[in-house]
Amino acid sequence: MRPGYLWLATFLLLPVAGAPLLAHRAFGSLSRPCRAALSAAVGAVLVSLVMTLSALASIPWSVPALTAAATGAAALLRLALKADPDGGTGPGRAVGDPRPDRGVRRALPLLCALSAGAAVAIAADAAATGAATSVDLVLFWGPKAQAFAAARTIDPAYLAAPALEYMNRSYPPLVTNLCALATMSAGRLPWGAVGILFPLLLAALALALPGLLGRAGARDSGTAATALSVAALAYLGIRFEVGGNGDMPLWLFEALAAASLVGPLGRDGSMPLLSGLLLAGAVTSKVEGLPFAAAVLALFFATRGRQLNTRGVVLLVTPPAVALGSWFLFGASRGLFTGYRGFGRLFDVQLERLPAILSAVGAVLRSAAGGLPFLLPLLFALVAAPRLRAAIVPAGAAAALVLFFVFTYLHGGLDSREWILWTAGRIFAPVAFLLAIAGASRPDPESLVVRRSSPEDSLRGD
Amino acid sequence: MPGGPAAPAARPRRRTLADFVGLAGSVLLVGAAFVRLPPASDLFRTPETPFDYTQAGEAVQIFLFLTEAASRIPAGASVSVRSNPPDRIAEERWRRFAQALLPGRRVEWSSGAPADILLVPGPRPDSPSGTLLYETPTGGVWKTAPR
Repeated sequence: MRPGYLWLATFLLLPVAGAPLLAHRAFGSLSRPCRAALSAAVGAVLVSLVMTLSALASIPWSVPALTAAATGAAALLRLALKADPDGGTGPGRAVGDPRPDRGVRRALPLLCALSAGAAVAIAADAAATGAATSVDLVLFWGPKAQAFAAARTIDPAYLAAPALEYMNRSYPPLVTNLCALATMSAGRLPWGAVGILFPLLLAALALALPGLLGRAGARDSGTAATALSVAALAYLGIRFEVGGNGDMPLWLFEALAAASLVGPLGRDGSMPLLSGLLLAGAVTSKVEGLPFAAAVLALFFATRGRQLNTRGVVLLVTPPAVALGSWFLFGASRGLFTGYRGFGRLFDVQLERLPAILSAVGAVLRSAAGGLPFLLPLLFALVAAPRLRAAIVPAGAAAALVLFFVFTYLHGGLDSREWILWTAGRIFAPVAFLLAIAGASRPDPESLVVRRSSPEDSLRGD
Repeated sequence: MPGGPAAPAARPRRRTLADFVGLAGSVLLVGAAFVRLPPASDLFRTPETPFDYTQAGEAVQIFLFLTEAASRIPAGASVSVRSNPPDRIAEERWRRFAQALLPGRRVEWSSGAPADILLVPGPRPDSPSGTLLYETPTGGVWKTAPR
């Protein structure tokens, strides 16, 4: 088998690793494609975590051992789920739309699926023809993965080399870990194949998102929001060239984590655990995953925290804390880093540069089809007009990310215009799918049961 | 996003409208993405490099040059990349490419310790130092004279 195919085929181990957890009947009402995609996402988080912990313990990596350990971890996590007192249909329970579909509306899910499929196909063609590859693949994601695969660990000497300081030694480990895993399988890093991860992960998003958004009965809105999110990310991924870098993995984890927190939580712990694992994926994919996770958790606890018992809180918060903690512990134990590199003192900002920064960010976002990838999800959310309480997590996270990125840019020096030009299109992309998810958000029927006395109201899907 | 209750019939109608807005928006964005693809004649062509149609146009030549060098330069050799005409910024960028594409070789700064092998992407320099090992349309490779 050619190295490129072998390299890509290695990623089939990820759904295998995550399967023991997603095979639990708590997730039984999610569709098979949705569960398969979520298994891959969970498997990615667990394999990467095992790789980081192995590096921390100075145990050399081997593909079978890592896969087996991650699969075992998924099986152990399965034990953390309790039987649902309602009969085990869990948080994936689909609530049917009370109104029968008529006419063109009946075709809506199919049309949305076709649109999402077309977006994935276009992203695949762009990646395969060399139209979407990120230069960062060659500048740091790829060489790090290649070096770690050769060393069969996260090589501290490589990260510490002064000549390689530009490779951002504290960047979180998930993407380089998984690329190193595939490189160990294939024998070398096939540069042309790495960019294919962009459409593959986009396809995973297209499979998983409708299931998560459909849990509260918002099936049509879920498919529409998915089509919109996938098309926006396909466009932005090609326009700002994300093939082979950490952006698409981050977007996948962020979108799924946000979607998992807008629906019912169930009583078996399955959804907090899944959300926690997806947040762990986000915080270990790219630095921007940390403010995202912080915003999502703060908004969730502020608005729905009372719906979780202590066990649910632990299941939600522990995975991202362990994933990020193990990375920082590795950095500290090797004398490399104790946290992310900052951009100067926290409040040492240049407020007078705010208009210039907003103008530069606006110019970058407008350069993406006139800003349509952001304006269309905003329009979708405004027309859908979800209840604020239902949409607060994704909508609030979108607002928090915008504020955080602008605040970060305020720390830049004179060259921040170039910095913005290089990064804004990619780092603001989550705003697009967070708005789409906000538009598809519906109140959790269980919370309505608590707040309202009328059983009819509690079953009204909206 | 109103926080108060809405009339039951009005909300599903808004939902339906929103769903069609979402669908129409996704079709529009799919069209915009399609326009960014390479020309129709190249849609199914295997690219020479992962950067053939990216905005990083110069990456194509340096990628071709260094992947060719990777198949010819022995492991363990020290290399440095020199630009012609001299350009410190380009040399630093190419050094980073060399770190990625020449694994197992020691990549030196062009201004640093003398390397065994000198890589010069692009046109041949007027006064090359050392012995020409090979030359391709994307650049030349010299074995430097012992010092």
